[in-house]
Parts: sequence; structure tokens; C-alpha cells
Amino acid sequence: MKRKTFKFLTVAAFITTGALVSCVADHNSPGLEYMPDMYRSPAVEAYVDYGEVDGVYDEEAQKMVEEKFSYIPPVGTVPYQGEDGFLAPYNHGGPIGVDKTHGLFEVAQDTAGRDGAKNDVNPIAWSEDVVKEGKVLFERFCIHCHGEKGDGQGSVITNSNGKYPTPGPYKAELTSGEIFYTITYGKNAMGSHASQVNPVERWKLVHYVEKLIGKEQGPAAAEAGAEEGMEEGAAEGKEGMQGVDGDNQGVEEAHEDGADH
Amino acid sequence: MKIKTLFISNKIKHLALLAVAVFFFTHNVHAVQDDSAAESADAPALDEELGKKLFNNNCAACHFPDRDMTGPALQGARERWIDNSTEENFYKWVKNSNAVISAGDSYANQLYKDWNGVAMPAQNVSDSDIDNIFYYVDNYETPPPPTGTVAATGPVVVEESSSLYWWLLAGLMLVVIFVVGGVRGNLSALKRDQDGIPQPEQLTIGQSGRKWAWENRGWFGVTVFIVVILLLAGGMVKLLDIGVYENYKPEQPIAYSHELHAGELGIDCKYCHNAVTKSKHATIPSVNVCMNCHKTVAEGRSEEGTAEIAKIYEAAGWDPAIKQYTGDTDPIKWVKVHNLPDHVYFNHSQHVVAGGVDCKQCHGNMKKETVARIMSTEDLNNVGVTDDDYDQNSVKFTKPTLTMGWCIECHRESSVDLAGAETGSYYNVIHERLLRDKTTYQRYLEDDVVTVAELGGLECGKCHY
Repeated sequence: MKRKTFKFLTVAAFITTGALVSCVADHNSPGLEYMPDMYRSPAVEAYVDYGEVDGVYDEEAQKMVEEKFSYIPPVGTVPYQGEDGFLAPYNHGGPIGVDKTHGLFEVAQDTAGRDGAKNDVNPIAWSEDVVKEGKVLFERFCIHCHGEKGDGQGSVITNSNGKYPTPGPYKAELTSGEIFYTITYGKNAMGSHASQVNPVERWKLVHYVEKLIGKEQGPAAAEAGAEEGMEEGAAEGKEGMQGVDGDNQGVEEAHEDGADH
Repeated sequence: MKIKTLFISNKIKHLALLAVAVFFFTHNVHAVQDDSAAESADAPALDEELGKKLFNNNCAACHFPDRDMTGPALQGARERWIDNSTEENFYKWVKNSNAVISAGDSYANQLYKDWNGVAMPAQNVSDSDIDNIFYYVDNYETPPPPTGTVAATGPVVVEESSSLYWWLLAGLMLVVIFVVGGVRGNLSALKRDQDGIPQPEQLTIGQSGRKWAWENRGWFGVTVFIVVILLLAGGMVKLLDIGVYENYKPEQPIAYSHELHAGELGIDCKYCHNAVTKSKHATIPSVNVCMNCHKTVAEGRSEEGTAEIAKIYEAAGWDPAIKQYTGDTDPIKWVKVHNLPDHVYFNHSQHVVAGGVDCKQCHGNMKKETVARIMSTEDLNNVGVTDDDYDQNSVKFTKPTLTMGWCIECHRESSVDLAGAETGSYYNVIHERLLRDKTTYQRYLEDDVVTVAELGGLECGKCHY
């Protein structure tokens, strides 16, 4: 009896240890899945290996996921961004050839290109807070190339040993519409950042970039744009963006005000 | 010798440039010209610094001095124009390329066609500006690759396992032992046969083993006891490792280096993992994010690096030879590293946006890493201690990374910024509720902080549902 127990324990211990050790020997394997249940949720989730289920490789499942996974939404899809983030669809297509130069294959092209967007007005009203949010976004998405002051001397430029071109300082004549257009579709070496910053964030970035350029922004400009504030601009984004005349005057007034101070 | 020739050729270059400049100068003086001629007459001296500044401000977004980018390399552009057209057209081209194209210059049209019909925008520069720019460009020397140690960017080299050889050797030894033993047994049986001693009764291996064990039962028992205890203890430790993924660092299809991109080049974590503020997943960047820079940067720090970048091109369908996207894409199959235990819901945006947790709190100092690795508790606690890339983590861990104890530790310790919460936000509501909820308020008075745990961060349903 005693000997039998010994024997059993020895064999059991050997098998357990052996099995466990062999589980972690492959450094590419994450290890044993202990009683897997919901690792592969029936509702397809991103970043889950659906191919292997309970040790059986399911090619169908893998194929299904691979084909439906990580793709651009169909043309015309309107993103839902929550109640405070809705803007009307952007109605300027990319420049001609943007599919070849920037890989934007499913994007409409527009002969007017950048010029068509020149007179767009920022639908998000200026405020200290919006500029602050723009700054946070700028430090996340732009600063490493365009530099802290927007002079084109970011860390990527200065530390890449001449491998990456300098974007140059922001040009003073850039309008808000052009800045937005450039972020959306890219320009020359700069790629499209539409997949990284949504339209609301882009317009906030425009506010901060304009601050870096040195454009006069302030309460007066905010007042002029207040009619097309966030919420209203949300409902009537299109009008907001094309309400060119009145808003331009507002900007000019702001310029004069700034000069007075 | 080589260096000498280099110097000489440089000198010749300077001389040639000077000659060109003088030629141009006289040319301009004699020609009936506008004020730009007057300008160049005033400032004939070429200024490399000014040229650099002008180049960076006006040209660098599309041109490198020494290699092609959106537009062609500028070195030798003047000579190419002189060879194929006229120098006059060269200046015109820089100022307004469209005018030269529509004037019907064959070289201009050829250029326009060769560069995929992308016209160079008109540049607001004077003739002397152009001279300064090209003085800088022609004197530009490609910076040498950085000396010093370059961290391995190549694929992770897997050490070939040597244990196989040991097993083979052990097997061979066993065979030898059995053969020798068998021969010895046969020989002694033969000897007994010769001497007339009767053969002992034949025992099976099991029987003889048991007999041997019984005869040495004292030592045998103790040894077996110790071995069993050791194996059980070892097995227990191994069992506790199930679901602990510390230092898990699988090979990735592209040997990406965080050390280079986040460390040296200073790109924010959230530039590539940009969904971290919006989604449950931090997301592995889609290949267009790589191409935001790598459309221009085809060369790595080493040959391996260049080969890795070529993989991006293949995935993105970018043909570097014609500088165009072909549309022939092939997704990169990245390997997921941070696997959570089963039945756990974790949301990145909740932690990063609402909780304001730094990436380094859970992911450590990635500025020193190549491909992603699950940091060990020690690594996380060492952030800001053994390096000066970051401040220290606010919460120090004792439990293994990505286990439940680890999550709980943080939920117990980290405080919530209620006062700074926006009006109408969840934390703001909690802030107001604090006045009515006496228990939480009492706990707040005790230590002046409201922790995640006090707001229900330890409830099962927070993460398991």
C-alpha cells in the first residue's frame, strides 16, 4: 500500500512537471490556457486568434476573421462620435492622385483639391480650453516632426541624421481650411492623419496650429464664431463650415482688435 | 588617397560653382533685368547658412539635397538644367514651374512627366536666394551613419536549443549501459554453467527492481520521499505560473524597435497606439501610420533595419522604385502580446482618459525595448529608478504583471482626481455624492484621498461580466 502510494506520487509528479515545463519551453507561445472559456468570444473581437480553438485549428473561423478585420469602413459610413462630437461629413475630396501618392484608395478625389477647402471656417468656436486640448493633441500627433514651436525642428527631424526631411515652419498664409485639409489628406511627405485624429480633434488642432503660426485668436474671434458654436455647428456643420463671409469679417475684426492692444 | 581626391573634387566643385556664379552675375548685369538683378549685384557673396535656412523653409519638405523624395535630389539640378535646357529656365523653374512647362520647354515637360505629374508649387524666392540655396545644397555632405553602439534592430535571434544533443547523448549512453550489462549477464551465466553452479531463477525487470528496492528499503524510501517532495514543490510553483505572462516577448513579423522610435526619435506612444484614448484596445497601428514617415525613410540604421522597412512597403503596397502605391496590400500579422486572463474585461480608454493613468504604469519603459514585452513587476517598479526617461511610477507592484492581484493592488492604491473632474462627468457626480455618502466621506477624511477601491473598484462586476 505504502509502496503503491509512492509509485503513484512519483509518476504523477513526473508527468505534471514534465507537462508544465514543456508548455513554456516555446518562447513564442503565451503558455497554457487554463480552462479556456471566453478567450474567443463568439462575438468577434479584435486581436484574438480565432484559428486555434481547444487545440483544433479552425481555418474557417480564421479566414472569416481575417477577411472582416482591420479594414476601412465602406464609403459613405458616417461615424458616430457621441452627442458632442458630431460634425457634418467633410465635403472636399482629396487632391487628384491621392490614391497613388498617399494610398487613399477609397477616398473621393476633387479637382479643386486644397483650394476648394481654403475658405472653410473652423466650426469649433475658439476658447482657451479648446486651444489647450489642441495642444495636448499637437504634442501627441504633430510635435515630433513639426517641433514644439511649429518650426519644423521636431525630435524626429533633429535625431534622424538627415533621413527625414524637415517640414519647414508653418507658413503664415495657411488658412484654417487648408490646415484641416492637410491633416485629412496629407501633403507631399506627410501622410494622411485621418485615421489617427477625428474631425473634431482636427479642428481643435487647427486652433492650436494657428496659435503657433501667430494668428490672432481671442475673445473677439470667439464671439464672431459663437453663432456656430460646437452644438449648433454640430447640427448644421455644413452651413457652419461654409458660412464664409460673415466669419471672415469676424477674423478681420479680431486682427484689428489685436493690433489695438 | 581617397580623402585627398575627395578634397580636390570638393575644391573643383567650389571653383565650378564660383565660376557659374560669376558667369551668372555678369550675365545678369548685361541682361535687361528687374530688381532681382540689382539684388544679386548687391549681394554676390554666397552664404551657406542663409542657403540652409532658405532650403529648410522652402524646399526641404519635398527635396533632399542628396537623394530623391517627393521631388528629385537637388544636387546637380543646376547642371542638369544647363545641360538639357538653359540656366535662365532653371531660375524660372524654381520661381514658377508651371510657366516653364506651359512655355513648352522639353526638359521641363519631361521632368513633370517623370515625377508623376506633380507640379512644384511656385516659390517666392529671388535669384540670389536660389544661388544661396544651391550653394548650400551642392556643399551638403550626407552625414555619416552614427558611430557607437546601435541596438539590435534585426530579428530576434533564437538561440538554438542544445538540450536535444544532451538527450541524444543520454540515449546513447543508455544503449551502451544496456549492451554492456547484457553482455556481462550472458558471460556470468556462461561461467556459472561452466562451473556447474545452478542458474538463479529468472526475474523480470520489475521483479528484480522491487527486490533491489526492498533490500535497500531504508535509503530507497528516504530518496523517493525527498524526490516526491521536490517534484510536488516544483509542480506547485509551475502551476502558479499558469496565466502569468511576465517577460513574454514573442517574435513579431517585423522587428520593430521601440527604443529607436519612442526613445531616440521621441514619438509619443499615442501617435501609433492612437485608439488608446477612444477604445478598449490600444491597437497596433495600421500600416498607413508607419507609412506616414516610412514613405520617405527607406533606410534603417543597419541592413537588417532596411530589410524590415521593406516589409512595411510590401504590406502597404508601396513601390519605392516608382514612389507610388500600387494597391496590392498584404496585412501584417502581428502577434498579440498582452493576453489577459479569461473572463476579464479591460478598457484602455477608461484607464487612460478617465483614470489618467500613464502608459508606463503598466507597460514600463518601452524606450529601452525592441518589440513588445510584458514587463515584470521589477521592471515596472524600476521605471524612473534605473533610468531617467520617466518619473517614477506612482504605484509600486508586488504581484506579477497582468494577474488579478496586480490589478487589485493598483485599484487599492491609486487615487481619483475628483476635484478636477469636469462638470457632469462620472467623477463629478461621485464628487457630489460624496457629501451624502457618509462611509466614503469618512474614509476620505481619514487619508484625504478617494481611491478607486473606495468607489467600487474592487467589485467583481467592475471587470467580470
